Amino acid sequence: MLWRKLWADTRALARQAAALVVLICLGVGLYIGLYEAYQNLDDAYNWIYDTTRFAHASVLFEAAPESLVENARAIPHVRQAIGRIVKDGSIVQRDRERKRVMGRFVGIPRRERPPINDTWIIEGRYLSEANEALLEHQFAAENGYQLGDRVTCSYLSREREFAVVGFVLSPEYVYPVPSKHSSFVSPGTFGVIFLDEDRAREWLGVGRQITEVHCLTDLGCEGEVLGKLEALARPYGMETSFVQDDQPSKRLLTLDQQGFATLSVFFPILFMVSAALSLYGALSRIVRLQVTIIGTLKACGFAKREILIQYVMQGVLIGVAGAIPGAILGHWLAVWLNGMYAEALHLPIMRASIHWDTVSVGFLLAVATGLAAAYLPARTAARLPPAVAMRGEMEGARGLTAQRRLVEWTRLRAVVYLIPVRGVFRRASRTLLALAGIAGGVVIIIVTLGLHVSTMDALDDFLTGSRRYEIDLQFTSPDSLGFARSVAALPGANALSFTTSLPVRAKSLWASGELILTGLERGQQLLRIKSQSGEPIEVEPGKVWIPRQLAERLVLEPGDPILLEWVQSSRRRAVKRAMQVAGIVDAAIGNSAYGEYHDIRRAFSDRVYPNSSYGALFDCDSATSQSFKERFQESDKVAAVSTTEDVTKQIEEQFALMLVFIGVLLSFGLVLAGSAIHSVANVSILERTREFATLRSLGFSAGTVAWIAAVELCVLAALGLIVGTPLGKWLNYLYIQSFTTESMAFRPLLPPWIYITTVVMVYALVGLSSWGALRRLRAMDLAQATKARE
Amino acid sequence: MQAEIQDKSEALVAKDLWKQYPMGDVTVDALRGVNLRLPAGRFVILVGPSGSGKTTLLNLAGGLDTPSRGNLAVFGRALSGMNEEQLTAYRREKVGFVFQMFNLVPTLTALENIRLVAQLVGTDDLAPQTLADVGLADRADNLPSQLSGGEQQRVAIARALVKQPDILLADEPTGALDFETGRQVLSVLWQQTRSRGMTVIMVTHNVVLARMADLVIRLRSGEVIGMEPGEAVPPSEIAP
Ligand SMILES: Nc1ncnc2c1ncn2[C@@H]1O[C@H](COP(=O)(O)OP(=O)(O)OP(=O)(O)O)[C@@H](O)[C@H]1O
Ligand SMILES: [Mg+2]
Repeated sequence: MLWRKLWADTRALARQAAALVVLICLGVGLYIGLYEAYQNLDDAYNWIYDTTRFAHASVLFEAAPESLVENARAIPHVRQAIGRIVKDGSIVQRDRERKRVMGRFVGIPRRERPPINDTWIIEGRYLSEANEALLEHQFAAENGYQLGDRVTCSYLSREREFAVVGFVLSPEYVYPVPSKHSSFVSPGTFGVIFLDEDRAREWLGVGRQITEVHCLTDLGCEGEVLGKLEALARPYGMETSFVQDDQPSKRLLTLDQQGFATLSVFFPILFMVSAALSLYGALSRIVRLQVTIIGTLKACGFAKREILIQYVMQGVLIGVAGAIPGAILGHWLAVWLNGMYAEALHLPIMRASIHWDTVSVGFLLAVATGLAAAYLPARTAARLPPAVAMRGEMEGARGLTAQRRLVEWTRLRAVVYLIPVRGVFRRASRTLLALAGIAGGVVIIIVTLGLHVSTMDALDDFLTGSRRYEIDLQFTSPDSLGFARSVAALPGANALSFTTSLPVRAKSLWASGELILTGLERGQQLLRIKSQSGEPIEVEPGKVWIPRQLAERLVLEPGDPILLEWVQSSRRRAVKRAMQVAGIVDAAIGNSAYGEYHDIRRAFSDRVYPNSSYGALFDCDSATSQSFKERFQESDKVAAVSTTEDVTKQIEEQFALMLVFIGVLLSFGLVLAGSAIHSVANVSILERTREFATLRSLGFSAGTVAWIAAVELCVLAALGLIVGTPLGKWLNYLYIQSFTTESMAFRPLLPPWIYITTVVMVYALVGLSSWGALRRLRAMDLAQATKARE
Repeated sequence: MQAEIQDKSEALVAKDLWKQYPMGDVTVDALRGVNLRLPAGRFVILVGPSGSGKTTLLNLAGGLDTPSRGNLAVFGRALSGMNEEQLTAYRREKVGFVFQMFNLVPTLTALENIRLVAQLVGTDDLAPQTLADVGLADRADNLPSQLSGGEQQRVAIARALVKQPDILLADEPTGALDFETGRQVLSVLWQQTRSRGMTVIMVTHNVVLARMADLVIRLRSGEVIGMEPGEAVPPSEIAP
């Protein structure tokens, strides 16, 4: 019998139950979807890393004898070690769209597969002849290479052709970035080419030398091994070193995955909390409506426990009802997300499998939500003293002082205004519920809009704020300056300014960090870098402008001393200089310090060439941009050319996924805020049908009653905004911070329009959902409603 | 409209009054051609078996519902054909309600519940006195949840009185109270309406209490089957 009553209750609650089921379904779906996507990605990456035997610890240096590998093998816990020759140059593509792009040439053994950092062949076959090459597959696809094509590689103006026999996925370039300093690299502009090592040595002219050592180590020993490797490499101009987790490609992928993992917890929690809150509200309402029934049941001899279980089961039932479609939805979401990723990263091996652990957790989460939400009202029901319940009341003498205080604090001359004012504080639990729901919605709206604004700001800043030129040039050597000047004298050209850059390590008394040191000409107007105060910076000899992230990490302020050191400095060849912090630059994208061009050349670039790069910013009329670009690309004096259009396209591609993502989040956020506000509106209006009907029968017009109900909601919404806004601001700050990497530091921006939009959205939602409830209020049958229990 | 219906000395005039509720395919006739004329200033009690249409008739008189057919006038105001706005104005100006479940606004104190209505009709200064009239001057600041059922009903009566309505409608006002408490509440209602010369129509199941009426109307199956003078005994003198 009791169970039949349970079923009838749930049905009576159908509308609200449906909304709750949808909320829980979305929460579970999001959780399972995002988390499964994360797990699938993780599985895919790990599969690649395992099959290709991705190095656990690596050191990169200028050049060392091959015997260094033997020393590395002798390090305890090293299971296997290899030495490689790797050099950066350019890939010349005279008959393709991109004429000249950055190339990385990796020597690998031809007769056997490398025991570490092998590649996974997607198409074609492994090397068998000396003049053959394997291409990193994303680069190959972007530039339209076919098996059998020839690829022209250029190193220090020495060109060599190779036959393309295979397209490969390399564990080091799953996400193809040349180094950890690069923030934007689109697959088409950076090509990794695997060549026969003997042929590579001969062409690159490096004899029997190596530039990299990679090791497989015993589990958990990579840090220890790395320390020893660094000690070995230091005399040979160590450039960088990393354990597997810090390898640039893996690190970026991990960051990206972490984003997934964070979101897969963050958003579902918001959904679940809101579902729990509404469920709590709904069940409280049922309990209120059924006070006499509960009293009767108890009077008939039902035990506390039975009544408790009965109400808790209603919550669990709704939880399960939401979890089942949620799991299916989540799995679809995972498949879809993985598909997008597989496509974006050209990952050929993505499998979307069902992760039962995640599904179970999602399920438990839903059931727990139902349980938790139902528990309080159920306990209230179970604890109702039958005598009080039979009178049709909820509380005995409890909370009287609080009520009295409320009466004392709120005294208004016009009594009718007291109804909405006191309605807000009528029941603390209900008000807190409403506040939490609305505040949660507000938080989501602010965080997502804030993320959107910060992203757009970063892009805008990078593309239009600082870039006042058309073409970015990388020279093959410092001798190209004359050529660039001669081109800049042609009609259509407006301005030319030289740059130079190299990777450095910056040290303060407290810490050190790596970044790119760039030299800019004094008085140049083409690259407008802004300082923290918003003024464009001016470079001077002996001084350096450093990025905000670095200043924070190194605890530096303008005027402080800073030591800059070329990353490959060794005792044998120390290239460093003590400088003074000129100021702090506020760039959202990029990790560069800026000094004076000639100063940087003299102190660093000219001394470490060819490990430094020379380039120029070139401005021309946009109509002539394309012809200038071609002109530069045809010359072997230029290693890489990118126009503003190219960069814009690259960045937009890179951020497209993110913008889609933000859109999805925003719509989810609105659904959540909407449902929270809707349930608040419904509860606060429908729960009081009898009260409102009585007011009508006393002679208050429908309009006045609607107004009383609406004012109360508006007050609740205002309170929700007051609570939610600072919380949203704070979470937005944390969220943006979590996106910060060495080369990206979004500003947590919340311009006034975001607040205005949030307020408008909340009130629109309040209006919309109270409109529905008020319409029902207007149409209500007064004769019936004045008799209703509530 | 007939002249007789507009006669103001008559509190309520019903002519062939019908109320039908559609229930799926069938219609329920709650009132079938009720004809009534109730003089002003009397305490009228409606009795009849359950389902006989007492509440329906009261709701029509109070403008909570509209008749399906026939004419109904209260103090010369024809209710049939009024729109929602007119009904609201009618309820505000002419009618006082007392419900079985009291229906006080739970967030307002006893006095505030009365003032809520007093302010609506502009009799705010009468509120404290009216509360005193029902014997609750010392409970002015109590919320309904802090009052007993009988006290709540007395507040509800004061809320109806403070409007100084032409007619006070009470549907089983003692239905939720025990006999003794109910009698006290009715005592208050009886005295206060009598001293104000107010017309009261009250529904009750309690035949004993019907002795307090000036006029008793019997309903059965939606029809008036009898109308007889009551004994007008003060409730305080009625024994259970
Ligand atoms: N909203 C409604 N829909 C359908 N039928 C209704 C409705 N309200 C009342 N009725 C029917 O109209 C008839 C009269 O009902 P009414 O409530 O007036 O009776 P009553 O005399 O007040 O009974 P009781 O003494 O039990 O309160 C009953 O048969 C009832 O079922
Ligand atoms: Mg009735």
